[in-house]
Amino acid sequence: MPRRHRRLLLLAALAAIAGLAIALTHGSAAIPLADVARLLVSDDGSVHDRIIDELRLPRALSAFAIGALLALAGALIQVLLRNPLGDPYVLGVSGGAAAAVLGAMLLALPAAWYTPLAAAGALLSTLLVFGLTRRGDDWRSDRLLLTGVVVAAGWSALISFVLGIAPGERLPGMLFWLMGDLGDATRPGVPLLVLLVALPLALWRARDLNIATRGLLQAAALGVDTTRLRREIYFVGALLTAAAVSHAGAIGFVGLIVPHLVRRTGATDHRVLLPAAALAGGTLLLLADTAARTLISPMQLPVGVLTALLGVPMFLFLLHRRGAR
Amino acid sequence: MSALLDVRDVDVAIGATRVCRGLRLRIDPGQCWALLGRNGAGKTTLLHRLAGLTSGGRGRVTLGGDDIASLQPRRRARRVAVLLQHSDRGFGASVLETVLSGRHPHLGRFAWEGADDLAIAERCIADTGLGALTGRALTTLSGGELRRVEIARLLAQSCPLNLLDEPLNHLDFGHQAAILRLLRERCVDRSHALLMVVHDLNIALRHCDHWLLLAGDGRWHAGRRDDLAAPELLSAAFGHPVMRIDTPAGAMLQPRL
Repeated sequence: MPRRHRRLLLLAALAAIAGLAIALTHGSAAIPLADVARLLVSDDGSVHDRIIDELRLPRALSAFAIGALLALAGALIQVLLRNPLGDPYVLGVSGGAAAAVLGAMLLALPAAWYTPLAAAGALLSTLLVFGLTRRGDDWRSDRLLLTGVVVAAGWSALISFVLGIAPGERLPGMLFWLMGDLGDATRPGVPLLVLLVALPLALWRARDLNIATRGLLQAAALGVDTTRLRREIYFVGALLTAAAVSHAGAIGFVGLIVPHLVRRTGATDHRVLLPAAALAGGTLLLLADTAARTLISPMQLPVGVLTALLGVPMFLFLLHRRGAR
Repeated sequence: MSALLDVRDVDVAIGATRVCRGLRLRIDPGQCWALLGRNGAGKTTLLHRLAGLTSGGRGRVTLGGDDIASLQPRRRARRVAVLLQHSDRGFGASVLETVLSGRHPHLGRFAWEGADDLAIAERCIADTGLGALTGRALTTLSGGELRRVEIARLLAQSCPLNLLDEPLNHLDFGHQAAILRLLRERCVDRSHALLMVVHDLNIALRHCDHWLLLAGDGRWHAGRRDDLAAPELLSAAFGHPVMRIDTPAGAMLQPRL
């Protein structure tokens, strides 16, 4: 691995650790870093201990894992569509999940149902887009993009309908979910597990992905089994997104922007881009969530608002920096 | 000895349009083939079929004795390299990274390119006159430079058989001559052969010893250049008069302009 790539990965890993430290020390009660470190390794049953173990650590790990999932999914989908505007939600995942969860909220179903319902909605929508795109053997990326966008518009109309007829007191919860919110993301196990399985799978295909950015025919000419590659990207991307959306709602922007941020640093090789994007996406969401729960505390903001507020200036800065590639 | 490429009774069509019927040809090491035909005759479609990028239809294409359709893609890409007519600039990969991608079929799954791969890529970059552009992103290159990057990538792939779709597109005459010389040197010898789509009859006349001429209606002519470089045959295939002029520098084929 070239040295500049190793440096980038090291930097991203350090940023992730720093992000974790910031997330664990900040909140309604400020806990010094030394105490956090001590409480992580040994429990003393104090209030601070319980805040760290039961609230901040699970939420921080959830935020990191979900951010990493979204960024990884974005990087994959951008190759699949060969379009820089590619976004994990293009596959219709978030629309299906949101419609399912909002329907459940409208019917006042128990909150424990939201995650499985979101996953079911996401997968249903994924299969719908896949089925509509894959008629015959002709699978063109523009067709996938158009199908995804149109299906998403359909879900969006359904969501607006639900919002329109929902009783006023249920609206705030629905809006939080639509914008993406980590308030209920207290079980990081599943997102972390999905991340740990998907990242090596994606890295296994990393060099194939490098070539696929220059066209599927070119990839085929260099010995990539492109039909399988497309199918794998599609389903891994959808799975990653579904895992993220079903735990934290439709958090926008991370999947679109983080892969571009990493490419701007010169890492266009997916062997570096994928892990670096996962680390950067995780860190971005971690910081955004820390800001979301501390900025106007005791009130909390939906984290999706913060990802955009943090991401937009960062992205524009890198896009217009002089000498950027 | 088995041929590098053996084509048996292959039918190729684009929708209802016939490209060739019952095509038979054999490419042996040391041969340099020109694939000629008018616009839309199906040269690219045929080239993709010969390269194993598409399949279907009647006939069999074998690569060093193995049926190309059943060859595992990575193994196929170690035996036949393809230069596509159009190339995409991708997401900002550099010249070096792109040329190194030619080593892809030679590397294991998680492997990184080693020192020898790097040496091969750097040599191919130098040979195509791109030494000063090694670190540049493809998105910043001119059309001719991009074409040469692709040719360097093809050379880095180091395959016995090389199929090139209009390799000289976007190149000025100086670079055309240099690339032709390079291709002859690297891809036409005791173990290598090359087939290229060209539009310039005089390049085909001067540089290629075998021709495959598509008539545009499913008929085809394949064989030694000297048997095919006949004005009547070419005029009929292209639907435009061509004459042969003998000059002190050798014969020239001149379309009426």
